Amino acid sequence: MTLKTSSNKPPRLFGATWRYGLRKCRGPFFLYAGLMLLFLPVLFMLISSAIRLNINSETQVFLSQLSEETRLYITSAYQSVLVLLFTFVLKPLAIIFSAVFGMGLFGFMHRKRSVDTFHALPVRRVPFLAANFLSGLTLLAVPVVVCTLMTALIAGNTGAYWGMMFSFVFTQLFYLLLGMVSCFAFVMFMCVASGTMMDAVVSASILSVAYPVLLLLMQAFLEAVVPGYLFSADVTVITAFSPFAAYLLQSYWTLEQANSITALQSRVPLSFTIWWIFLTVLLIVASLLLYKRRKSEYAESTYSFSPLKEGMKFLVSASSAFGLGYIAALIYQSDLVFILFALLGALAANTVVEALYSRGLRHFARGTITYGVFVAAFFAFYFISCFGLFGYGYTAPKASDVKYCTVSNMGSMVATEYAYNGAADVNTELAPRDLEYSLVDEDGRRLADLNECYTGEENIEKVIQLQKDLTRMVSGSLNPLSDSFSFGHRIQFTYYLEDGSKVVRQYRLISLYKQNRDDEVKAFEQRLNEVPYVGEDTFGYSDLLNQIKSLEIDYNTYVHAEEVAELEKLTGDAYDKKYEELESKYGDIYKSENMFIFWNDLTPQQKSELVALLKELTPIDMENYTPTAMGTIYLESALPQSIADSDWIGLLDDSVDTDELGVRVEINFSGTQNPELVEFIRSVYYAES
Amino acid sequence: MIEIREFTKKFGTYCALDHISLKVEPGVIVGLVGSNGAGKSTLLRSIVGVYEGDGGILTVDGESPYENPSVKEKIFFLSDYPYFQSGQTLQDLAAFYARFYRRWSKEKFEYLSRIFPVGKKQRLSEMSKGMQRQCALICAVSCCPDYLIMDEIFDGLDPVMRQLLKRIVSGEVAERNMSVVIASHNLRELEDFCDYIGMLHRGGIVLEKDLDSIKLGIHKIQAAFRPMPEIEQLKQQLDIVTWEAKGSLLNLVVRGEEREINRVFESLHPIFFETLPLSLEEVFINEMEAAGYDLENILK
Repeated sequence: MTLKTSSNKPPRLFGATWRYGLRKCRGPFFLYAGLMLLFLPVLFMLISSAIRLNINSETQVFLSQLSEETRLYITSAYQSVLVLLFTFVLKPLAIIFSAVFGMGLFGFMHRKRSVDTFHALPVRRVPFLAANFLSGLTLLAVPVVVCTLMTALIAGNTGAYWGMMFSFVFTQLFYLLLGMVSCFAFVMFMCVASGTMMDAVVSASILSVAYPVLLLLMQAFLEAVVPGYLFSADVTVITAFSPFAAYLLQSYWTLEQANSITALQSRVPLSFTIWWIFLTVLLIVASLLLYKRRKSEYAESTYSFSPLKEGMKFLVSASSAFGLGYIAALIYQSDLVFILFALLGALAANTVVEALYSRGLRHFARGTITYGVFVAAFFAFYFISCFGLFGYGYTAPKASDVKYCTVSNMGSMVATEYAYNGAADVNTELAPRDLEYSLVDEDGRRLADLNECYTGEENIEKVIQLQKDLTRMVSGSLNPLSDSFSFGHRIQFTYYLEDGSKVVRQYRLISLYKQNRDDEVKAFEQRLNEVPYVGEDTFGYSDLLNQIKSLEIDYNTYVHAEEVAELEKLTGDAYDKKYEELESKYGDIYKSENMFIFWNDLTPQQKSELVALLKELTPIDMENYTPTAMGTIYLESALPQSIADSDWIGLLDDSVDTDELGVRVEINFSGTQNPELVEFIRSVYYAES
Repeated sequence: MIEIREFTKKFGTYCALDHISLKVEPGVIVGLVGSNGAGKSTLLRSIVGVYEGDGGILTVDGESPYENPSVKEKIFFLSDYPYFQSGQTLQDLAAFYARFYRRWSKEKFEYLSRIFPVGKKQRLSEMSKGMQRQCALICAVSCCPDYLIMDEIFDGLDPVMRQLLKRIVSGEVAERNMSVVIASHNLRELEDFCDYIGMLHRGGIVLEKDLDSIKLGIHKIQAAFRPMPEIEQLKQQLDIVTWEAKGSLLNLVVRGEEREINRVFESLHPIFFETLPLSLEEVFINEMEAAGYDLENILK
């Protein structure tokens, strides 16, 4: 007989557990990998063929013979396809399989037989769980990464620009992997914190649905009763504890919000990314620590970690209370009915969840403690809200901290809605103080977009005082029942602070109209109208310089062919000369006919070198130029010869793509006075037309 | 050596093991018997480090097994319902344990696989309960543990396989000085297999002795008297566990040395009397009854 003599050190045991995890889920893995392969490289290949076939005869030539415009078009089209595939196919697929693998790898702790086997093995619990977690991540991530690489390779070899495709694809991949890890960590946490798989599923479902619903309903309530409260539909907040909902809703939401599909990823808020990285790490650490404390006898019991169960019961009670309360109150039009049904709804939900967790109502009496806590919290919330949420509407920033502020007069539905309520129409006299104007020169050429606003400490102080007066007017008149989910005439105050943040207060005036306090509203509007503001007639040159965010030469601007040529000379020619130098310095640079894109994050040294270079290339003073947050300097000056040759460019149809139009110089700087830049723009635009 | 002193394990408010003390020396086979819910399985799970105790000391070779891989490496636990992954074969199971147990012996595995009539490539889920037990046992022995802990191992095994199991385990004990703790209700099998017996009832140890002492220390007496002596008088002279009188016939279970018991009975001048050895099952029933196990109501 021979005995193995290899050491039984932790890494070996960790590796053994990891490999076991891989083998354990190989069945679902093959299905998952097959679907990934089908939906990413295979489907993409078919769609990309169709795209190329649509590009006239250019597809008949070799890749090297494709024009720059065609390659840009192909790249853009591929990116659009990939966004749709990632959003509607790959993300749901990855989320579903994160649950499948999670149940496969962490389900052992819910069965006594398997707990006996695994907890008797010579391996500590934390490394055991960590190895299982890594097995799951490997199973989830490997097919995605491989398929994404294959797709990028296909795209790069069929006309798309390599650099652009890789950058785009890896951004998509990052968010997919982040979502995948978050969902898998969430499943692991739920499994560790639950005694049975059913408890884990119930808890995960509750958190995924009840939490967002509760937040939305509570906000509707707050908006109805708290003067100044503004409903926020921030997906990051609403789905803060539900990765499944977060990643699906975030994708669909940004897709809907984005002007173009390819702009999608740039619209994922930074707060969303940071929050989910933080929460994912927290979930992993919490799972490992909980698992270390988790007793083996919790398997098949319903009391693994009771705080989670009680928390879930509270969540369901609260969301059901607001849901049922609103429905009943809308039917019976009574605040008392709202409260009564809220309490009944909570009791029913509490009972149902208790029955689900305890497989019956054996612990019903004990379970009512949570209900008692909910009732206390509900009344506390109800009264605190009805009494103005600790003076929420009276809070405003200090005038000295405010850069400028706007007042929006909203609610075009006011007449219709109020008529429906049986009263006369309402005419508001308040002019909105947030209109956006295009600053144009005497020839009608647009120089920049400006917002109307209140500036100056004295004026801002007046606006703040008016906001507080409006709070006083509205206080006590709001009704949680009839004002919920209704819109009507609203006034919104937005304060833009010096530190870049903003404070918003919104007031719904429908309750005042219902109480026939129209005169008070009109008097208030008159007072607001009297506060001086910076508007269309009062925009000054200094205001332009202070507020300017970007200057554009685009399809809305008349540009004479001579200026086009001049621009081309200033930019394109010089760029061409410097291309080799740039490439040798900065490596991964994509160059089209007259455009450079620096893909890599640049070091501060490189940035300063580039700024110096740009100064050299253009007559623009780049002293105050601030690169974008990603560290990518993006300069575009595409001027196709066909356009440059024409006499006039301008007033082109909105549908014309910017890339096709190609006349675009966009330089962002951070609100500093830069007369040279303005002078340069003016010198170009003010040419004889 | 497994050493348990004043060990306590609670499940919520229920005390499953109440200040239990027990020693398992190297190279012995200890049988744990007891009523249902006595705490046998809980004790085994505590020994293998599945459960963490709530009081007292439980050490294996001087160290606590809970969360201690170096100790657990020496122990193999064969639970009453071995867990197998779906689709797993004996070969897969062997590969699984070989990764975790440094002393895994491939030769021993091959040898045992030939002895037991199970297919290495047959799915465990398709096997009978007895065959699954055999597979688990093959892997257990192949891990070459210092301590083999088995819970209801005889369940589902046919008599031939039981004998084979006992022969293999006894061989390991003799060859490698392996210690075995086995919990079972099958007292007949334990009787000719164990060196020591621990009897549990309601979370406590009722009896812990080597099997010979148990058998030699308790006797069944059948005696006929005319007239019948006073039982209370007898109880003063003998350690009577149970007794039953039917007419002039008296049946007793008495603790003590046979010679001493015989002397007492002879002095009472019975018409007839004989001393019989008790089977382990009879010892168990009598001890349980003495410990308050309500046999009369249960067997009614």
